[in-house]
Amino acid sequence: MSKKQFLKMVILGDSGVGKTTLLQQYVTQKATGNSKPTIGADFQKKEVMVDNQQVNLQIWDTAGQEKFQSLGYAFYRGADSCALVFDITNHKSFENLAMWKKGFIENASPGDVNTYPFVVIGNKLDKEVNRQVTSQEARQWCKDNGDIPYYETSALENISVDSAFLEMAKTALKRGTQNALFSLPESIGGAGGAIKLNNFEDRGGAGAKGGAGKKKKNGTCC
Amino acid sequence: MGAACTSVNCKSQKKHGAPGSAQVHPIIKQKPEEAPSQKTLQIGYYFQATELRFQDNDEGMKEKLDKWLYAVNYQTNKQKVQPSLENPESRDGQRLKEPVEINQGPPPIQGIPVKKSLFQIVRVKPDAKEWECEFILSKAHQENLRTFHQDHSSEFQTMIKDSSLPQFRWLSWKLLLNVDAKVIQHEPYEVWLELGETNKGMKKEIAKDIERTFSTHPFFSSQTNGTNGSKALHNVLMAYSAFNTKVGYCQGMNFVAGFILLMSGGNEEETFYFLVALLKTQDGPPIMDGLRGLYKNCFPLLHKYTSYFDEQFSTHLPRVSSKFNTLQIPTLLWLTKWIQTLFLYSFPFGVCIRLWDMLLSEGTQFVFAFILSLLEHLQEKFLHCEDLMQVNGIFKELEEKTFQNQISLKLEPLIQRGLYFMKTMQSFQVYKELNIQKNKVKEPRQSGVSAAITATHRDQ
Repeated sequence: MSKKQFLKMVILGDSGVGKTTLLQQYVTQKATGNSKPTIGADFQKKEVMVDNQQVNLQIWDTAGQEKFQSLGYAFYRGADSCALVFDITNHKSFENLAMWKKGFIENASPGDVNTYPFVVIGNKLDKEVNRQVTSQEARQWCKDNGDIPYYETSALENISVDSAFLEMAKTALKRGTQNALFSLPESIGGAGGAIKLNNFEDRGGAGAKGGAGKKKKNGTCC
Repeated sequence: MGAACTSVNCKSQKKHGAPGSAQVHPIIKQKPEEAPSQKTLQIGYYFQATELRFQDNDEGMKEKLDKWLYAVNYQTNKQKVQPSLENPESRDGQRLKEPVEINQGPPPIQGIPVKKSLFQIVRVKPDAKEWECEFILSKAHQENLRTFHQDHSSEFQTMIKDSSLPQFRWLSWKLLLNVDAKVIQHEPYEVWLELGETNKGMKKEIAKDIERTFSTHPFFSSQTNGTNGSKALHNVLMAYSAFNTKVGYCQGMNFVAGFILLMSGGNEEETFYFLVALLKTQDGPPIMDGLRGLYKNCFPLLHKYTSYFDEQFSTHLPRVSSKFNTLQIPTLLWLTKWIQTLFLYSFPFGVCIRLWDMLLSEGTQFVFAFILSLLEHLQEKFLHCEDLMQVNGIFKELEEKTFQNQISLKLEPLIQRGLYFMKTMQSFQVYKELNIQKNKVKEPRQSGVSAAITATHRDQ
């Protein structure tokens, strides 16, 4: 089995929890700590060895503001693994993990949810003094949500960043990839990259009140 | 929402009811009347002068300066009345040396003779070139420019397109967007600010992004400017979130507002009204598409823009477009940043200042014309790509190189090419109309929805 493997991974979580910095640290081994808020989505690539196997990772970073959720999901589809990130100094960001997870499951068609390789990351360990979420509390949540592996990291000081991403890659490989790398879903595929709803009217209608019928509360207004 | 509006009226009546007291809300640092001081003008000027330096295009500067001199002395020229000048020595001025009187060049507009100008410029350093000098932009000069804009709006736009000069840019931009009218139409800035401050959730959301907005720029850096810059940005965004509750705050607006703040020389109030004007629909010229639609929930305008751009893309650059199709490059991936931050996310200020000159004189259409021009410039590279990662790499390389000033990007020719696309591409307005009609024919029952869309697009 010397064939190259591809994995698509996504990082989700509230605005400002450090998603971009985590990715920056993991891919380039340095983090400035003053990244800009991510607009829309972006991705980075990295080659790693997992169990003597070369793996190409494509890691998607997304905007964290709730408004952007509906936009982001289009990029997540077919992801082999998903990191749910919160900031240990911000309890609200921890409470929102459930929302991110639910949104991901509903929109990214991850297959069997129970075996899906999620990882939870509590970031900003360098700000331990301001901690609002205890490790115990976080571990309990992970346990209640299907024994999700939990990592506490500092993206800024490069603590446990590698191991968290490696865990994602390992579990994803074990489960088998969804071969998602270059096949973006039709909904955003091609240069016709708008999230394709039926027609122009529908798109506008979703923006206009009383246009397309409202469904799902979870930030997916479109 | 209804309740909020009532309270605004209520407060404003109170404020308006006591004109003599001139109460200023404690969170505003400066009284609005004092805000557009010479000092703030200078900050805005120096910001631009620094940012534009790398372009270093001296050619034709003298001619450009002459045109602007004519415009700011317009009334004088017309009525042969000289504007009274204040003594420059009296204003903030270590940098201000001996005022130098210069004679104005030949008239840029045919048929109107120009007499000798008493317009004063002050040399920053002894060997400074004329366009490096500071301007004393008196009230009279500002009025003149205003009148000139009214009388010769198309010449005025051309002057900005040909590269506005830092001394006049902020005032000119305000004139193009008719910002003054917005000041009169709406409640005072303090009212919105005060109302915004009551929204604690919004406050938190905005606070998260403040320190991540142009954080290395001296104006926003806490090391060089304390909390002044960040507080001003915070205030503007809070006030806007109260002003337009449908938009509230959306990431991307922080960059737009931050940039305007720098251009204005740090003037919160003017920045607020400029932002209001920029995000509004304006029938033009320049035609502005109501950019607030980029920031509303579900991003209605962003989706429309994406479909629109895809059509233009395949019409004007069919090879690249079909390459992107084959490689399944989602347009939203790279287009969102450019559009939602009006290039500020991806390009350095010097480039953005020029792009905004064009945007504000040509209208929002220019954004797409320029993007076509940019993609055309990169097309050979794109055509050699084999996958999504490589394409993304080219976009990133472009941005990084531009930031490092290794400009393989020759801006002015790209802008000119963009103007060509402006002429040849279908406008967004036409596209929108056609699509509404198409859908009317297909599904006549939905005509109500079309009307709703048009209405939504135009409201606020």
